[in-house]
Amino acid sequence: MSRIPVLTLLVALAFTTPATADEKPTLTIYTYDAFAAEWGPGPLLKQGFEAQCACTLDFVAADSSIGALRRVQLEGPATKADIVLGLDTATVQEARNTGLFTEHSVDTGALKIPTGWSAPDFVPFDFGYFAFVYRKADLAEPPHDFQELAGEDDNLKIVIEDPRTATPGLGLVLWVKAAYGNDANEAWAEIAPHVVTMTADWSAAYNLFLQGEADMVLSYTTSPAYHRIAEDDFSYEAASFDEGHYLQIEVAGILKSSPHKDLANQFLTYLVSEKAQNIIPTTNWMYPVLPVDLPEGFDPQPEKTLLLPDDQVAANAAAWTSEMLAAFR
Amino acid sequence: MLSRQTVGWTIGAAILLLIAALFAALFAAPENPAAPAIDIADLLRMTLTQAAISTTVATISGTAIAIALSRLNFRGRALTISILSSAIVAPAIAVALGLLTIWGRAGLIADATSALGVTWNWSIFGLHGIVLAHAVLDAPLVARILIDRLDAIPADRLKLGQCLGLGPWQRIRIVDWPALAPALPGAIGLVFLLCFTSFPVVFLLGGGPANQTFEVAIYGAVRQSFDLGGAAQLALVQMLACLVVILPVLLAAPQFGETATHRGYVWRPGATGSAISALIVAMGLLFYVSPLIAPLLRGLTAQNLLRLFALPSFWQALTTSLLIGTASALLTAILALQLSLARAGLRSRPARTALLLPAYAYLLTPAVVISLGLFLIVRAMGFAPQSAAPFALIIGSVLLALPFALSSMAPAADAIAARYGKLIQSLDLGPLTRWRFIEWPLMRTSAGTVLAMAFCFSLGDLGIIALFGTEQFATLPWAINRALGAYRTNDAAAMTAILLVLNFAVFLVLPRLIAGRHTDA
Amino acid sequence: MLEIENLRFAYSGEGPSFRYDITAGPGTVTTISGPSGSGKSTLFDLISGSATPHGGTIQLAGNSMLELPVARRPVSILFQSNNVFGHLSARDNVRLGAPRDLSGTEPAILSALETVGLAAYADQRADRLSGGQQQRIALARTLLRNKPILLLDEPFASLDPELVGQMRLLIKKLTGENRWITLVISHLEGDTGEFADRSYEMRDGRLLPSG
Repeated sequence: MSRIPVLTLLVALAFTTPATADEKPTLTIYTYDAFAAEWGPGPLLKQGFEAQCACTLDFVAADSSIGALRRVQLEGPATKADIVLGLDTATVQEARNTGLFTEHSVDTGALKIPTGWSAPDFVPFDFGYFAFVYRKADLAEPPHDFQELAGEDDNLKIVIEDPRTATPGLGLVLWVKAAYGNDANEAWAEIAPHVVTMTADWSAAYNLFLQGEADMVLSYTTSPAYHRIAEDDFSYEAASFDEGHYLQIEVAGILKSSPHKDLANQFLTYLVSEKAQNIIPTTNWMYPVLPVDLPEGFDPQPEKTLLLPDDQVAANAAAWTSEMLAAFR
Repeated sequence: MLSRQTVGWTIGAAILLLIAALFAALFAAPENPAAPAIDIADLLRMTLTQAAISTTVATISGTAIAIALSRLNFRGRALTISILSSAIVAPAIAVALGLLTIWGRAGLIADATSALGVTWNWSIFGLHGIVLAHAVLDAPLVARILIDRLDAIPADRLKLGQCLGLGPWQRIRIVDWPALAPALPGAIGLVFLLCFTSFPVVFLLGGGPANQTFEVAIYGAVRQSFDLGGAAQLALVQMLACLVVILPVLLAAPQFGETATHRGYVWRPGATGSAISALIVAMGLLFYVSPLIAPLLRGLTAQNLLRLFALPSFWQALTTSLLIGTASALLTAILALQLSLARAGLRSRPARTALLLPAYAYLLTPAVVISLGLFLIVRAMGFAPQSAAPFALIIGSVLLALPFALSSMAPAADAIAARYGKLIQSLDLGPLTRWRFIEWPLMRTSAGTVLAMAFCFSLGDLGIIALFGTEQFATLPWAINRALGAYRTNDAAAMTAILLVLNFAVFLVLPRLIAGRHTDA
Repeated sequence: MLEIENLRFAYSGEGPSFRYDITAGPGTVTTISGPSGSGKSTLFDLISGSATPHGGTIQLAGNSMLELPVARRPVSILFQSNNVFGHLSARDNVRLGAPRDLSGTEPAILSALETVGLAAYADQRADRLSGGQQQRIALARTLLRNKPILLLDEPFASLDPELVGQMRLLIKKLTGENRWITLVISHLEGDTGEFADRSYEMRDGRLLPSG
């Protein structure tokens, strides 16, 4: 069976990228796929940063930000990653607890984030609000809060994400908790009949909505902007809730094990610079952390912001998730 | 020269070792004490209920299709059977999505009924949706396995039954049943296993926490709570549960993909019987094909394709998929061949079973365990996951396809040994001569099926690539996933359509090319 | 009287074509011989309705049989093998020959089994019996059906020579008693002798009286 070695050789050749001969340091960033994709902010940020750093910037995409964190955890101190980018308010405490991250030296004083930001270990680089997105044509009078949503006719169906596997799902659990506190379980019992299905990730939910399987989908206030700007389609809106919208802040952190901490800090500084922040809105479809001008098509930010403290989230997320799931059994 | 038995046992041992290593890697990984406890009894109950209902529905509909097909003789019957066999490689996620476009709230049926002034309030999400999807995916398989048995009923027997004027039920009971009975346990076992370990269908159509399978729970344990030890435990429970229920029947494995033997005689029922049979076959085809057509129509528009073809990442993903698929297919065929030939030379029943057991055990190992275990092993060996990705992908797909490959090749090798074993011995043929003049000509049909099947399995993989994929190393399913995660539904639809076309083209054409003029032998 | 005139059949493509002319009376045994592939079994398919002729007539007592569906043709047929359903008992195999509306068939089944000498084996599974016994069970079923035409397609080919003699006697006897028109395909030497009242032979696609 002399064919096997030849075959492996061929396959290996096909996938081995030639090693770069120069001595430039390489900064490796683990992130979620959409960030690193050719249509995401990754390529533009790489271009912009490499022009000023005399280094190579490598994005390594995992299927999700939590996937990127898991990969670093699996790899331990031997990891190639210098930065994990894309963790959010719901997961940052868990990342902190791994003890793998170190403090940064980026000045975050000028950043404009609704609730402010003071954590010494993670740098926020964009944010968004969870919201229910709908088609104007299908829903003339969208609900204005969770109570109205619960009180809608049973035919109004929403699709949400599973809080155990998807960030928006967990975001919804926190949202309802922040809005209703101890009454959250009753709120869930009333919302549950409207939930047509709970998907494993955001993309499955959003596609079910696009296919017409639901009237509303749990997504972001910025989702309609994508349709308006990228597709010239003005039929989508995010329902504005009077209780306020739960905030999701995306952050990046430097790993203790990184041999390039200076370079990493340089990159994070670049990431929150005006130049980089101008890239974010139309590539990552989130709000920038600097008051740069938003392109036309973005809705103004919600008036009321909800956010629970990191430590409360980390301590109670599992219990709150169980509470929510109980309403669906 | 190594003896065939030595080669066979070495392969078997290597596979066993790999499975052990996968689990060891998971158990050795850090546990998460904060992970929520999983109610295994409840999970087992949900999974068993779902699998039992799905299996029953799929078996009954599949048997009905096979019986109906055995009553008919029409142009395109062979094609119909080929289409039914393709269910083994139909990507479950594409079928589940396709079902939505037919049965969903905004699907074809809802459109049609609302045009008639009736509201379609049936929701596809939930247990019934899962059962429907499993029936659509697995009934063709059952039909495919059983139609061979029905077509193999001797012509004399059919003429006799016809001459005796047996009624439709008598015909099923007296003529069909004895032919079906030996194949049913294997078919039921296979379907039960597929439903028990089902992942994408349950994920998409489950509707939430009320419907889960072990595979879904294992995925959750790994992804959300990072409880690798817990995931490994769940995987072991799943393996044991399947082993107890399935392995005995699975070892009497059914065959896949062989082109039907020539039918000696067609016993056509009366006009009513023919009409009912035609209706059953047409319904079966409609149920199976319609969810596959829907994504094609949606994806294959000029606008979508032009946009897609301009993306370098698409071409890269396509090339990667084709290369990995080809490598997986060749390796699967080689391993299956070695194991089959080694087994054919064995006399003792326990030894024959033991040789294939590792390959079958693999069927029960959850994809996420395979993928995570490989990842951990690669790390432990000091390789970067990126450079090991192609190998992990190939190994994963090969082992996934191997049990199916064996069920096609092992009987062929056995048949040669039984029929020509003594003659080959008396002629004292060397292994190469024997291969070239006897085994290859007689096994190439089966080899073609195996190559096509393994290629398609590898093409559809979404489990292993989920941990190894990056933006530099992507396969087609991975690229679809990425596009879906970035609002790019049209790209995803186009790529899904291309994946489907590729899948079915390879599955339908490759075996015929390889079998060549020997198809009819 | 069975009269077949100018009955023609050809397989599609470039296969051979056949033409049959034959007459046979009640209570007689007619043998048909010829090399394999010469079209002997095709004649039986045409009579039993398993194949449709391209032209010609088949008449029984002056009535055309061609319009009748297979199950309603006045024909019983026996092959070289596969004449019994192995998983059924001898009794149940014979029962399949009984008209469906007939009640009280038990005595008839038993007497048919007695006639072929197998009453003692009534409750044995058919696949436990020898080849000769299986053929006799099939014959017992034929007795119960009692159709005017009996077609035997090489019924003795897989039997011991001594059994063949017994079977011939049995068939000859039953044919006479029941006034059957019995056609036998065979290339055994003995079948053209005393056993046959008349003998035909397939030659170059045509059925001709032998000798």
